[in-house]
Amino acid sequence: MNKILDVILTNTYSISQLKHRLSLLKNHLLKTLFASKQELILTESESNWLNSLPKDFLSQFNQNNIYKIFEDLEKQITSLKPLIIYLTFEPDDDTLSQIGEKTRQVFGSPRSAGGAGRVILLDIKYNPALIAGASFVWNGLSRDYSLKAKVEERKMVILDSFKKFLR
Amino acid sequence: MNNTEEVGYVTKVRDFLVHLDGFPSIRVNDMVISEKGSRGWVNSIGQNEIEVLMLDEEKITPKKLFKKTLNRLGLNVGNFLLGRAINPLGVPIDGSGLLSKSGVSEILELEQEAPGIESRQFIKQQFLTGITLIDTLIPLGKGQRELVMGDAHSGKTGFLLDLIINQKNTGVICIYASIGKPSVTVRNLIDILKSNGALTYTVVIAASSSEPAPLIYLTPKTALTVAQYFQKQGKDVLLILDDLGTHAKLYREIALLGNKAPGRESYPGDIFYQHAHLLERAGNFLKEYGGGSITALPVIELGLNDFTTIIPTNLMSMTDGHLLFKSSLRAQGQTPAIDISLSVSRVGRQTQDPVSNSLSAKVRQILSEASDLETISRFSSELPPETQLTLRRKDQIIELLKQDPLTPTSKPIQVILLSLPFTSFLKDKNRDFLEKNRRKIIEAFLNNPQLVPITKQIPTLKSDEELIKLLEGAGEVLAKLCQ
Repeated sequence: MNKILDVILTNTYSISQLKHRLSLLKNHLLKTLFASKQELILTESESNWLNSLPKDFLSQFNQNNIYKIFEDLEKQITSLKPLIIYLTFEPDDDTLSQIGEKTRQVFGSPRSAGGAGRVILLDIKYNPALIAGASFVWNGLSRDYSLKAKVEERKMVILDSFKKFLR
Repeated sequence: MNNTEEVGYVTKVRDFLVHLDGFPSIRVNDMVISEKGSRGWVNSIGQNEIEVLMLDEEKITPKKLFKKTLNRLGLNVGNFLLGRAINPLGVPIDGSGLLSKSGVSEILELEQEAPGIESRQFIKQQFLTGITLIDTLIPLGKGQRELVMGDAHSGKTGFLLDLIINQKNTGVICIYASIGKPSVTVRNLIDILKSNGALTYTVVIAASSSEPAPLIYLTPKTALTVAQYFQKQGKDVLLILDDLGTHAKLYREIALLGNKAPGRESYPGDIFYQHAHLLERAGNFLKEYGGGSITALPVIELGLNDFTTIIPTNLMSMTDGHLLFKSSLRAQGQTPAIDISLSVSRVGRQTQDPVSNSLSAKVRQILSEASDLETISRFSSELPPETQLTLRRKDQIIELLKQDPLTPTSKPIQVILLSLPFTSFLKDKNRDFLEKNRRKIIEAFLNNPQLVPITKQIPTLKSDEELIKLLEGAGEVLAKLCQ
């Protein structure tokens, strides 16, 4: 089961992306295995991702195990602990990939690279109140590197400097 | 840069009970705060989740972020609390502005383990209430825990207010915890205390019925924390918890919401622990541990005078006696409406002086004899003179024990009043005579130049016989006054 998830996670970086891709894969496999006549409408990036999956990976699924595999995968996903990142903007796929790759390079230890199998998954949250920068939550610990936190930290200094201009 | 904070996300919400993940090093009784500023305190910790009880009202939904605060569940204590009314978190609610935390103030945690046996001493001093019935027949000691129970409208609150007001100029600090009562009741209470000059030595801790259940649940804990602060300064503290029945019901609500297994009357299994854990913090303490005392009076309202239900019986077993109030007695004009035969003080008698002690034994004997004889007397029209005397004495005692609100009686007067039925002056007087002249008699012993020396002599007496003999001399003066 871990192998299936590992393959999916190779170029999947966020929780929402993972959930979306799983549902995509499931629909694709159901259509293929049960010869459904219903057409799947895919975007370019979606079909690119499906095509990028190795053939031997897709051959693991059959009519008897598909529901069980996906049920187990969904259970596994709920137990994953993502790195939560608060950003002031919604990143596009390219930016997300860049952030994801960098995070995995620095903190992850994938099995394919001989590591312990820790693949960092991101949970991107949108918070414009941060003004700029980002804040992170990992395993219940939060670190705020946003401009808002900096302003809060130096609130008195900033207020004092503003007071100079008051008449 | 070290701006690391512990955070967690809501996984489940049930009314004021919130489950959160995250928080790697959180402990029970730590506080957490939502992004909108609503506070909650950690009630229990599971393997992957913590259970938080919310103290402020906010619509909480899953995935919301909570942060751990620097403070644990506690409040700022100091002498500045005297004369003020606060909520269980130490926020003033009396409209008199912010608390002036000048001077030394410290933060004490609400949840504290009760001081052990090594810190306690025997209860030797009587806690004078100024109420004749209590001080003579059911005496309380400083550091005693006495349950006050009774049905609705039996005069419990009035009695408790009297008790506080009567502590004026005694140095006793009074703490009144109003648990889940309507705001208007709390307001009235503060007004009564203020108009009688009793607020200066009193702290009112109140959470009204409209507040979230976890906040009301904390009220007695806060009251005991404040009481312990004053006790550690060597002060005698009177603590009133009004009432623990509401507290138990709220704890039941919290426990049932948290999926704890219900037991008898649907209360959780640890309800006994909750109350015992609180009341254990009261007592009389050695000098090395502050030297003061906490006299705790938990209150419970009974339904139809039934004190055999779980909460009253629990409380009876963890206190050193109880006072049973009855609305039927109050309807008959007896104030305070305490049922003497069903009330008990297991500690107070050891603190009484020998004269009061033997006198109260005598009075109790008369009352019990009379209650036996009353049944017989219903069947016969002609009674022997001894029986008539006993019944008359009982009537006289009951009449003398009546005390109007806000009329404290000093110790010597209490002793004199209860001795009078044994003197020849009252031998042939009936209840009506006393009803008419009780006030006059009290006034005479306080102000009449012929009787004041007797009053002054009371503390030096060694036995009740001596006292009765002394009072025989006052018969003539009294007879003239009561003509």
